[in-house]
Amino acid sequence: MNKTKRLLLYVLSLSLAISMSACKTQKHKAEVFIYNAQDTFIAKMADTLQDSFPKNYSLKFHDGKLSQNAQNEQIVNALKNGCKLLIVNMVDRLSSASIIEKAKSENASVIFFNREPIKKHLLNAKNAYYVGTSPVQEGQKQAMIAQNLLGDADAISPLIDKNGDNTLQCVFLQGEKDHQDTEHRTYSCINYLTAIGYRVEILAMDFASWNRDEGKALMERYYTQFGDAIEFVFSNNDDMALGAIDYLRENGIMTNENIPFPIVGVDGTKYGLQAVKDGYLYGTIVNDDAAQADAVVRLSRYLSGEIKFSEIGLTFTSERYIYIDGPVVTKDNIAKYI
Amino acid sequence: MKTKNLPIRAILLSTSLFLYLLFVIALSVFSCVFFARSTTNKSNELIDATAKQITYNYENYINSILNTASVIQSEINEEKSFEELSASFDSLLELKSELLAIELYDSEKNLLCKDSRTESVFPSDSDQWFTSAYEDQTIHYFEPMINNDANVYNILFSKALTNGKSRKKIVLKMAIDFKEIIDLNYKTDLGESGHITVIDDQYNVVYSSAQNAAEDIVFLQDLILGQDHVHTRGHAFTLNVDTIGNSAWRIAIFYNTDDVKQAIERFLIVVIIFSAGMLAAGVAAALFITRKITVPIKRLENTMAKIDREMTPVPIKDGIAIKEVTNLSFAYNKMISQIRDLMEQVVQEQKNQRKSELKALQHQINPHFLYNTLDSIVYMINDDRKQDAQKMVIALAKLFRISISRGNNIIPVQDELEHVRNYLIIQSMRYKDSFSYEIEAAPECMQYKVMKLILQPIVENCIYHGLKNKIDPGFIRITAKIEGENLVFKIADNGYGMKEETIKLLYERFNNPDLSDGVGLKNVYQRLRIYYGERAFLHIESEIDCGTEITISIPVEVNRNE
Repeated sequence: MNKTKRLLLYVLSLSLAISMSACKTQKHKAEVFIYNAQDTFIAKMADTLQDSFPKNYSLKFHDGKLSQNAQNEQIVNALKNGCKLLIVNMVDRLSSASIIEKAKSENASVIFFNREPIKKHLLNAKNAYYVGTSPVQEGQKQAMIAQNLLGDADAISPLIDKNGDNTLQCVFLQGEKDHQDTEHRTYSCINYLTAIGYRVEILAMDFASWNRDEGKALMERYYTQFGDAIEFVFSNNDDMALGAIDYLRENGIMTNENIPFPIVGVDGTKYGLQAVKDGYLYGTIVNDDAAQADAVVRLSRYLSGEIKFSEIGLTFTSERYIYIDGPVVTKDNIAKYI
Repeated sequence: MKTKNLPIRAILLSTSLFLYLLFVIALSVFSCVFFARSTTNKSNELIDATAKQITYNYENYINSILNTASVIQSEINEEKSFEELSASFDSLLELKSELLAIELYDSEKNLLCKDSRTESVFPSDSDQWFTSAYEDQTIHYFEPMINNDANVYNILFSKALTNGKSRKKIVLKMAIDFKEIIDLNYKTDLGESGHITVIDDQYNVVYSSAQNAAEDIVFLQDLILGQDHVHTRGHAFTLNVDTIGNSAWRIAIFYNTDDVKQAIERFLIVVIIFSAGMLAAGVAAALFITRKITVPIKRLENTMAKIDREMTPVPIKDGIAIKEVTNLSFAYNKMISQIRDLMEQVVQEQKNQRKSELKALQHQINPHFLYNTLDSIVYMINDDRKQDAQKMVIALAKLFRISISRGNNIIPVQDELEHVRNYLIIQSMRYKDSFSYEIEAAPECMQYKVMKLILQPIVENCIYHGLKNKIDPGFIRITAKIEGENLVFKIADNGYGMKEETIKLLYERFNNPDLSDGVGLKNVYQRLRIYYGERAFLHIESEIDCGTEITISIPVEVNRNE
């Protein structure tokens, strides 16, 4: 009997030791849900997140492929597997309430990024946060780029004001309909310009869903309709702007020697920055994925209990929002970036 | 150390039943689990597909509404006048049957323009649609319009649009008939009591295809998103909750899974009944088989226990039996028959021994010899031959004294020789010098003892068969000496002798258990054999008309121990 007892004890203590050591090296789990892996910026953001998280976190990535229902399923499964930290880039902003509520019922926390939840839903939540850029700021910065080029509001630079009517005829390439970035970038830009006294005539402001090809098609429509009357192109993001550039260059409207009108974008993607360097894109606002990823990591570490709230080192707006601002990039400072 | 004896039947029964039980249970459990799992999976797949389809239908519906709003926004961007807008609203209403009313409001909630319908579709008391839409231009606002008529389902849709160049906000308000989507979903079979409930983000019921939708709220608040199994309205359901794109609404689909549950339950019952049957059959079979095995063993055991004086053999039945049991029975029977034989042998030997001893006892007092000798004595007395008579009386007395030897069977060699000498004295006197005799004994013999009355019967034989009626004088010579480990007596006469056949016959007779022939030789032989065993022998040598010599050899050792 003695021998068996001893063997049993030995086996028991060994397994206990192994499980305890496993506990110590157990990683924090976090799962990332993106709305569409085909979106250049989001794809880059996912990579940056992967690199930014410390080694003691194990991350899983899910692509919603533009279906909120698919993403819902991914989120439900993640919660079932015991994940307590969800990093969500929603397909449909209106589903934020459900996601927050579901996470809360499983004692999990949610960090939304890039696609902003409904304000009402987020402000009422204690387990959810938003990390993203301030599209209002971005729109304003685009306006400031225009301001630099236009100069005096009463005497706009003739280089821009081709028809000399002291009014800026511009077109907007808008992102996704009903996306907060779309609305805010567009309207804050317009509002800023008008607020500082410029006369703005919007020839067209249609949607190209952040998409390069759609941007190209939209530019074609605009140019076919307005041609040279266009004095400025504001694009809600770099991809669409690049699409517009594609069209113009393919049709010889834009060449190395002749830029018909300035085009500005937002994001500062690899391609966008290259276009700025090449001179096709006048300027862009960097959507700092590294800084955003860093903010997500800090928040995650706080939510995982690794650091205290006072150690996060981020600025909160309304206790739930973390806005990361990016700088303006034009030919003047492009060297710093590429 | 105590041995715990377990009956073979108990061991067989318990081990086989235990294993069988284990097997049946394992098989039942496995098949139930497997069946339940695969049925549930199949059912879930089906439910998943149905839920996706229904949700897709709803999303399409919503998207169609949003498209209408986009169309209206484009029209506004084209800077149409309010009359033109009103006209386009009318054509939209005609085009899309689900549209009931379209209205535009300014930022002060003043009506700017509307379609040409006169009836009011909208409830008059709500403000939410305006404030929600105006606050956040990016969202679409949906609100169910409660109607007393149960068959009428209308939704209010509002969204803030921009007024072209002025960049002022305009609020679009539309009334939409929900019935189309409802009718579409009636075509989907969700099983008995299966239904759809649509809720908003405050868990208000927007629409439900079932009565008492309020009962569902509990489950929806618990599940929020995803899939689960619930019990309500007396049935089992799979509940699927998902968001409807572009709205803050969620759709809950209750899919009746009674069938699946019932199928699983029915299967479980069948398996249980079958297992119980199998177990019962197994138990019966085990009992029967073990019985078949153990009953013959038990019978054998009982018979062996009662091993009795009669040595009854174990019966061996015809037909199918257990090989080992049959072999055991055969061996047992063989054994008891051998025992029986041995017992009989012993009994027989004891009988033989008794008989010889009896014979010897008889021989101790030979009546004929006594009468004849007494007669001779009387005759001698009458004849006035006092000394002869005296000699004969003394010899007779000595003879009988040694014959009895106080009941001892083993007497000194000297006494035995004396006995035969006295016999010879008497016989030679009676037969008036028809023969003479000589007794020669080696001195070393005298220390030994020997069985009594072995020499005299042989000498008697000699006299009556060998020397009687012999014309020339006869001679008997008796010698005793030690040869090796044996004490050897020789009785030789010069009488008629015996033929070889006679000797052979005599030898044969020695071993014949039938004692009706009173041959002295045989008696001596048998007695010697009984007492001394195989080491004693009696040897006859004879030549016709020459003489006979009989040798008796007895092992010396036995003598000493006596």
